[in-house]
Amino acid sequence: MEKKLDNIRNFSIIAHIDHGKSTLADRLMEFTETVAKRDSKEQLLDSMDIERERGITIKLTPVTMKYTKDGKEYILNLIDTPGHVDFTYEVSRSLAACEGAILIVDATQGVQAQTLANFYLAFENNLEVLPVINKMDLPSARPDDAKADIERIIGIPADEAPCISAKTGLNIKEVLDQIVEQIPAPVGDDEAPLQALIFDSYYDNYKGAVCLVRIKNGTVKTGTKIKMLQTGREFEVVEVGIFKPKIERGDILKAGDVGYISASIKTVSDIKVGDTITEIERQAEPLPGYREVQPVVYSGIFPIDGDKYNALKDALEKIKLSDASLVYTPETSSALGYGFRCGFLGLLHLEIITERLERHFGLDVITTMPSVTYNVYKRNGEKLEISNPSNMPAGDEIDYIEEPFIKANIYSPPEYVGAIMDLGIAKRGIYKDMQYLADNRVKLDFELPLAEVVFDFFDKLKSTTHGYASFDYEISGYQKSDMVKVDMLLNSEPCDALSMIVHRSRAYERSRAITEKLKEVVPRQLFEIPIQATIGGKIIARETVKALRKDVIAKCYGGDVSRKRKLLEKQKEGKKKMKRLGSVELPSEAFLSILKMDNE
Amino acid sequence: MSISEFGLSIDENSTKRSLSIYVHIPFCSSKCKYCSFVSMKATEDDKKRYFEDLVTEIKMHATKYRSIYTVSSIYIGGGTPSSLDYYYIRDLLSCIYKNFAVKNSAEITIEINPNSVDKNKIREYILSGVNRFSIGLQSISQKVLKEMGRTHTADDYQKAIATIRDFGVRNISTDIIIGYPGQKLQDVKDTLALLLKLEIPHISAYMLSVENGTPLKKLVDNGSVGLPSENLVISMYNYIFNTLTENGYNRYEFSNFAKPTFESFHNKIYWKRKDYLGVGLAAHSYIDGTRFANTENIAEYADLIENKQTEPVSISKNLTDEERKEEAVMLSLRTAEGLDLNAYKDEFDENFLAKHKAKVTKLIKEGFLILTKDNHLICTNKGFLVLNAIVLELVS
Repeated sequence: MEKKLDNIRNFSIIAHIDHGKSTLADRLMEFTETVAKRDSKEQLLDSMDIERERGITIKLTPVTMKYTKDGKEYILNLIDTPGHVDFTYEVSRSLAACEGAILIVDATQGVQAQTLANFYLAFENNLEVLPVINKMDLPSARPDDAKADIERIIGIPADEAPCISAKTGLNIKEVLDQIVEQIPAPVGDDEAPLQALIFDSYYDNYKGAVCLVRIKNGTVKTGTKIKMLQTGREFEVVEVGIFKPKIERGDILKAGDVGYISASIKTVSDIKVGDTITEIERQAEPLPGYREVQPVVYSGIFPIDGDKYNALKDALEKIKLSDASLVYTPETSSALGYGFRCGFLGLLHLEIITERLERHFGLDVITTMPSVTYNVYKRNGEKLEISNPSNMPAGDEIDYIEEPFIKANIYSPPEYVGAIMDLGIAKRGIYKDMQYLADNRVKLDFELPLAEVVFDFFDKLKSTTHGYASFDYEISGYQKSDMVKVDMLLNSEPCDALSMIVHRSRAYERSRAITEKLKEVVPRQLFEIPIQATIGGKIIARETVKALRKDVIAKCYGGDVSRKRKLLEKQKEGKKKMKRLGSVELPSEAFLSILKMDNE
Repeated sequence: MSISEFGLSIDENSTKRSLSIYVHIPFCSSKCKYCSFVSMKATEDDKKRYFEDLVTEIKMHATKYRSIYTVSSIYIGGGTPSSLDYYYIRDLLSCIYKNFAVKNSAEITIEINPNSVDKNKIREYILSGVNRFSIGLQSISQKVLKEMGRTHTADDYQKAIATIRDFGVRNISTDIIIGYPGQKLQDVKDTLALLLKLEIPHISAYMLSVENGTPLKKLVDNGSVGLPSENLVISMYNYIFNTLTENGYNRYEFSNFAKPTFESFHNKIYWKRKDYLGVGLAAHSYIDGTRFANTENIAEYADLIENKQTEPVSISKNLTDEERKEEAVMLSLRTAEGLDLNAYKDEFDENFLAKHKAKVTKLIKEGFLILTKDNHLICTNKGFLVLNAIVLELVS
């Protein structure tokens, strides 16, 4: 029978960037003596250094805390959430594991765009939202204004909101008390068939892939024979436990609990976020909200040093162990040699993977133009899914092409509506609807080509709205589009790594931008190098890198040959790092600068 | 005059190996804006001490090398060797003669500035055995000289030449710089016209390179002076090359032009990878396949010599075969003789052409290189101008 599990509270913390989410989490852990103060590093939960540097949390690290109020001991499970639009689905699953959320508002800044977007996400997941006013230690703190902001803009009462300083630890107890008082206890039935929501997974060298779960109903312990309802995979549980925030083995997880299940699962690819774990013997219904996570953007990754192909392969395998959303298959490029075609959740994800390859595995890699997946319908009736420009059939074989579109919800103060409209139109978007959510909050709905969004839409949106706007999106389907493949020719030889699929209306502009950029970054060489952009063999843009005319050291003073030697060594080193594209040599950085070019 | 007057005349046909000696004098009365060489202002005491250290260093080397080598050339560079009183140079050379076997015919060069010599000094140099003068003129344009931070005039230069010639010395070289900020093609033409009028038999024309750490580098970086365009520098260089060629000079190295018999023996040592010994602060040496260089820090230099009683070497590198091959290409292609492929085969037991066939063929086809009948690979004028890129192509 379902009942209130009155000693448990499951919650997450949501906040605008820099409003103090991770710091508050640290203070809660300290106050509840989950961690000793001396062990507490700044921002305990952000476990990966790359993410820490970027100030964003991607990996969700839950923590179980014990807190005694009025003589009763409560178990508080904090589930942290990532903060980037690439990971919207993961956030939604984490929130689905909670009953409430702490909404941090900066006492000096009030409600910000992201605060609002995050609130809506929490609201959609039926969470009880508990506002907290942070940064009271700052002289410019204006808690009353912040509270008024919350009531006026978000529309929830903020009178009781604790005024805290996560930095100094002021009023942390009040936050904990309110968690107990105001966040609903989870409801569930220990006796019912097992329903465990997977909200994340990670890879452990000894345990293999581990599921992070919220038990909705039933119990799970060592030896339980389980089944993943979406994938149909079956396992036997080896171990269960909780996070404090280091893992701590336990005997059993019951309805309402948050913890981990390890079951000799080989890779995290076998674990789907949003999937439901049940018992083989007594199968329950899958929990709602599951979505297959699919890469939205594809790019080739090649080692700069061709000998490092196997090292790259090993590195990708290792990353894949802990990052199920990464997919890859071998790819060969005439310009770049052997590498992999990889799929990512978005450009941030792509950047994180390449940074991990470079930092953790010491690999210098080149990534090719990111691309989404197009449906290509050929005249002979065949349908192809193309995410690599190299695989695009010849123009005369193509009947038509469809490209993926998304439905975007953009939240912003009204003064930026004009700028957002312009941006939406510039990105080939179709305006759908606009709603005033409050006096100074507007929600705009657009249909946008995914290709335009994955590149720099988020950055552009932030810069045109001074960081006030935020957005989330979901794939809405495919629509017919006039896409063309543009080939780049260096020294009259096609450079497949620079080929791209673009909308015809953008082809000329993009080609000009790339040929100009190439002209800028291709170092002059002994021979003149023509740079051409073509569609189906027809040149639409052209530049020329003039031949090098002067490159000589004048003097060799007093027999100082070592100066020359050094220069030669430096040049040789530089040349080694050059990427040979056909007969043209290009420094890797130059190549990257083209690939990173604004999608203007 | 000759060094035989020191009673040290050496059998010209000595079977001992040939050595060249470079001595660095790191003192100047003022520093030119483009100069990145080790030089400084100094007190008389500093100078005295430095020359005492030089003597000690020379003696250290002598114990090692005098039995193996005879000295074919000496080059006293700087800095401004002529900014010092003459007796420093006299005593220095005398020390070399005493400690090394110096050929009677040895080429002995001193670098001088037009305004730091007088009749007496020049006489003393010649009496000390100097038989070649290298004068830093750089330009005759007063405006350009001022930009460079140089303190002499074109007039000083003409007087110095006349003085040297009064003593019967014909072996005179002059350095000029092309491509200096503010310099015009006409300045180069005027400068060259004067040198031709004076019949200077050896001219070094150096393209300016803006070196890190120089005042010029700062000025260029902060935009207060602009470098002449690449095209202008090429025009200047080509003007010099064409004019001097027409006037009977041979471009025996990219920056060095000489009338017949006036090529610098010492200069060519560097390009031919022959043995040379550098003495003094920051001086470089190449002996028996090892390149080494003295410290650039004068306090350290003094300490090593006076207290540690060791050679003041800070870097030393025994070249690998591969590095020697690279240097052969890098250095010989700067010269008119080019890369002697037969000599290359003898030295490295490797057929250069066979190994680099595709690249060489392309470079020849595109007019950067020529293969002569006697199997030398030489640069065309077009090739000389992009020598770095050609060398890089050939060694990687």
